[in-house]
Amino acid sequence: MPSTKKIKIAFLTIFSFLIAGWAFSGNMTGVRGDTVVDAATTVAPEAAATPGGDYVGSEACQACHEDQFKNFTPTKHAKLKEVASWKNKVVGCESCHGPGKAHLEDATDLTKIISFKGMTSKQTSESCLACHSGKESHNNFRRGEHWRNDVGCTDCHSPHGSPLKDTQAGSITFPGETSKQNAGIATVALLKQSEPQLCMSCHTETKSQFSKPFHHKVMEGTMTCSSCHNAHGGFEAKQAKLAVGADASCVKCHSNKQGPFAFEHAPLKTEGCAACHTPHGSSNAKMLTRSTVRQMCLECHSAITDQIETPGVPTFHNQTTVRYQNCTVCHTAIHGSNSSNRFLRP
Amino acid sequence: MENALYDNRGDRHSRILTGLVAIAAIALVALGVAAQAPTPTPLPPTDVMFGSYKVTSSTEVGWRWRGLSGNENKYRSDLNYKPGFRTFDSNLLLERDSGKGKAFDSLLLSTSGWGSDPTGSTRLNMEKIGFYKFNANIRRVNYFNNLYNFVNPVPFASSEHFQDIRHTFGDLDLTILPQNEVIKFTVGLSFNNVRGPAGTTDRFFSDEFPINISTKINSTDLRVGAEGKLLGFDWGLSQGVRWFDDRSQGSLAAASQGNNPTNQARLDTFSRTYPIDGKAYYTQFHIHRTIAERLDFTGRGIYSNTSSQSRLDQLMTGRDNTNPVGILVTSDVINITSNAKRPQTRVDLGLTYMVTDKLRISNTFTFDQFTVNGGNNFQEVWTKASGSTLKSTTITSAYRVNNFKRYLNTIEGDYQFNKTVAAHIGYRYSHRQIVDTGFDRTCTFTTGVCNTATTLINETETNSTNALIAGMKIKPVKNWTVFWDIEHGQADNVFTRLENYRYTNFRVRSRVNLNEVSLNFSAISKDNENPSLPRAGVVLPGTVNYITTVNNRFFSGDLDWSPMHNLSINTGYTYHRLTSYTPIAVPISGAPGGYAFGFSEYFMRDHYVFFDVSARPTDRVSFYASYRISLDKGQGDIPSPVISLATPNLITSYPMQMQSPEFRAVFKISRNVDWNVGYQYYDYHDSQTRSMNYRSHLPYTSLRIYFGRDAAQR
Repeated sequence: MPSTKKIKIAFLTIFSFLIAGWAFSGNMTGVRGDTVVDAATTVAPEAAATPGGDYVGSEACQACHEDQFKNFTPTKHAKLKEVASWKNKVVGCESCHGPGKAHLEDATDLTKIISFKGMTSKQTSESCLACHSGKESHNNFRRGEHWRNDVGCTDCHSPHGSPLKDTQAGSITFPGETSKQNAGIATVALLKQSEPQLCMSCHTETKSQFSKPFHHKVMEGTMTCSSCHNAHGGFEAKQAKLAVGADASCVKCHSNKQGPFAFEHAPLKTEGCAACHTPHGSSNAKMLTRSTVRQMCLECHSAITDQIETPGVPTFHNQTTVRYQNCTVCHTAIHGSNSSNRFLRP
Repeated sequence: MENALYDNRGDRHSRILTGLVAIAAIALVALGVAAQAPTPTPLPPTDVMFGSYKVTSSTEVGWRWRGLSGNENKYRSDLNYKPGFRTFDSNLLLERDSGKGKAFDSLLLSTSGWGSDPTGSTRLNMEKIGFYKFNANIRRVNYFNNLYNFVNPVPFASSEHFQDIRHTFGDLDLTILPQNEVIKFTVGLSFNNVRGPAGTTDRFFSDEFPINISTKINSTDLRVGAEGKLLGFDWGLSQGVRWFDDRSQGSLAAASQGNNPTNQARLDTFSRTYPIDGKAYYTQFHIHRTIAERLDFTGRGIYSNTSSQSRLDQLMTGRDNTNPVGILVTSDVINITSNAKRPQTRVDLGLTYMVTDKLRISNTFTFDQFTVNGGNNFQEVWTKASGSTLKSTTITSAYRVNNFKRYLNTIEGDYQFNKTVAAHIGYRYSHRQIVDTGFDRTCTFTTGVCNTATTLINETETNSTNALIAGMKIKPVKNWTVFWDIEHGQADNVFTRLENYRYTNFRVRSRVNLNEVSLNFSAISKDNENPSLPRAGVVLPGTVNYITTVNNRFFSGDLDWSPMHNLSINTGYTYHRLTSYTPIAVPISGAPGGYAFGFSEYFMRDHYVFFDVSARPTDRVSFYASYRISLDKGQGDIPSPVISLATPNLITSYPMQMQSPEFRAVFKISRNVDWNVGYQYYDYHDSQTRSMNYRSHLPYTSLRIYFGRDAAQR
């Protein structure tokens, strides 16, 4: 572990970055809102710009863009104008689409307004991130799996608010999608669809996994994909979330597996739960990756390889004898033990 | 009787076929009826107001019956749907229409599954713009697991490691001033409670005995933090603490002869308490800034310190394993105290430089370090009475330190060729070191004589890995997008032989979105090869090598089609093919050196098909029909020989079939009320252990009450 001195140095370094950033900010005055809009090249977020001048207000857009205005009005984006700290900033349509005066005067010339129709996912996302990147969960979106594969904010979100469909008859087991008569998180989070349907529309293979006999209850609505994954990036593999500081997201709910144990089953913390379990679902009990316990154990605890802290199964565990074929009958505390270095008791 | 029922495969397949044909017929009829039905005149939305709030609400309450044949334990382990009252997919949305709400601007309450469902959840999202945002999520899972083909030395009637527990958990998060850019505050609370009976096993004189456990596990998290903007930087700081404890207790229902029929040991009484108490403190700091719209920087630091203390007290009486009937053990007392600590430091840095409007170069760096150190003191005293009194005391102490350190760096670039083509390429390097140290010390007192033996542990493993990543997104036409990416290299593998090591992952996804049709395909390939480190002195036979290989293939596609406003069809197919091969050493009596060298193979050949139809042939009646089947053919015709010196191989899979047709009819009986009639059928067929099979019939009726905006338009 780093000494206190090292931690102090780390924080001092971060502080130095802050100071350096502050110093830079004097010259690199690219803080949002102060930049001139160039609709032809990049998207210039306007959220912090001062209203007036070429800004005409969202109501001016209503006359031509009635449907969008109707969907947009109940959203949080629209209601920002009522927040005291946003009073002197551009909000509403022009916060993303830029000043509307020129467009109002000549609606035929589309270069006079920022339109997202011809933009790439990344360009559109840059516009959203101008306001939304301050949160820890969003900060690393530019380096996450979705960004890397050019999946942008508007692939999942509908910033104007989604025009919802009528409720349809659906399963008697799995909750339905958000609809006009059936409100859901998609309504308030400006998602195009509810989870998990939204995620499964690309990750189609996961639906089969969540339909296995043993699975996390995602289709049933008790969990969502975002219970474990951060769709906005993050620093973990597979965009997984962390829990309780820097632990795996599994221990958020499975708190008795988090340890620390006096005797750790080493893979639990170093390799992760997925070393033995398939978290989306499995035909095998306990969502294990193998159908028999001894197969799971013997594949790693094999006396032919020299993995660290992975002793081979002792020779007296004669596998032709029934009582040695189910390892966890004796090694009951397989996730870790405080009382036994061979996991014989909890 | 039961097996005979399931042996009739032809009959079963014909019923599946009949079911599919029936669903297809329903779809066609619905299509025809819907095509002929006059388009209903849309009614203008009618707002229902609650004060100044616009209301949208629907609530479904119903009753489910259950008919079950076959293995109830397996049914409950898989599904656990019970008969009785249930709430389902209900919600209430209050939205401020105009003007300012007093307590909130929007409130969404959604709930599902309470009552006879095994899982239930209630979510509350409420917000007053500019003032606060509150999210609550309370969930309950009734978890049941009792499978006699799992964790038992011989096929018992039920599992010795059963669980019938209720897990209640939730998160409550409050953000104050959520839209304030300068500063906002967060407060959060989470909890977990697990209660209920469970089973485990314990050893006593070389035999294993089933023990009942009364499970009582708790954890509570409290976290506070602030986020804001300072000197142009977005920053956030949060501090959290988790308290966790385990107050489960073990006991014996009745005297037991144990699992080993040839062993004389008998357990007459058993009691175990093992209170575990722990705390986890964690601090997280993050910072972010985009400078001049060119340079994006983010950093995150996490420090956590988790500790636990426990004391195990166990008292047993019975007979030992001495022939012919065992000597009476008047008491066997075990006392173990332990403590462990795990401080962890993690630093993440991300940097993106937008070189041009089309080219970005990014670097992501992660440093992760933790140490687990813990130990215990073990004392066992047993007293026997057999003419003379024997007494023995064993004292051991042990200590372990696991030190983990990892650096991970990814540098990548992404380039936007034009509006339709984007590509990325990157390189990842990781370096990991794990050091395990510790000792095991045994001090045995036998009638006053002490023997001390100490075993020292000192292992170090260091590995560095490299990986290349690349991918593209192409839009051949406006509504068609193709993504592909590939990752090839090595991943960390220190402890497990099956995790990624030399791996190649490739995936391609295609999405077509037209107005009424969405068509998606995915193909994913994951190949992993793990050579492992040969153990010194072990010579393998020529037919066996050290290399573990794991090959995964996924092919998946689905179609979402709404040919008209009152009909939608959703269907899909997924195939998952898994083959895993691992050389293993199998302990077999009589083998040279005690081990026979063989291999372990695991197979999955899983087909999953679903077909859903929703139709509203008339304004007052709508239908839903669905058919889902998961069919894993496992290893197919490959035999699983009994392990022996001649065949020291483990060849397994879990071939099974689970199908569930479902049907619901919805009758609109008034402006605000729908009457639902539904039926769901589950048929589980286990190809290897037919006593696991079950069938369940789940008829269902409910009322769904709509209230508020658009209620009449459904």
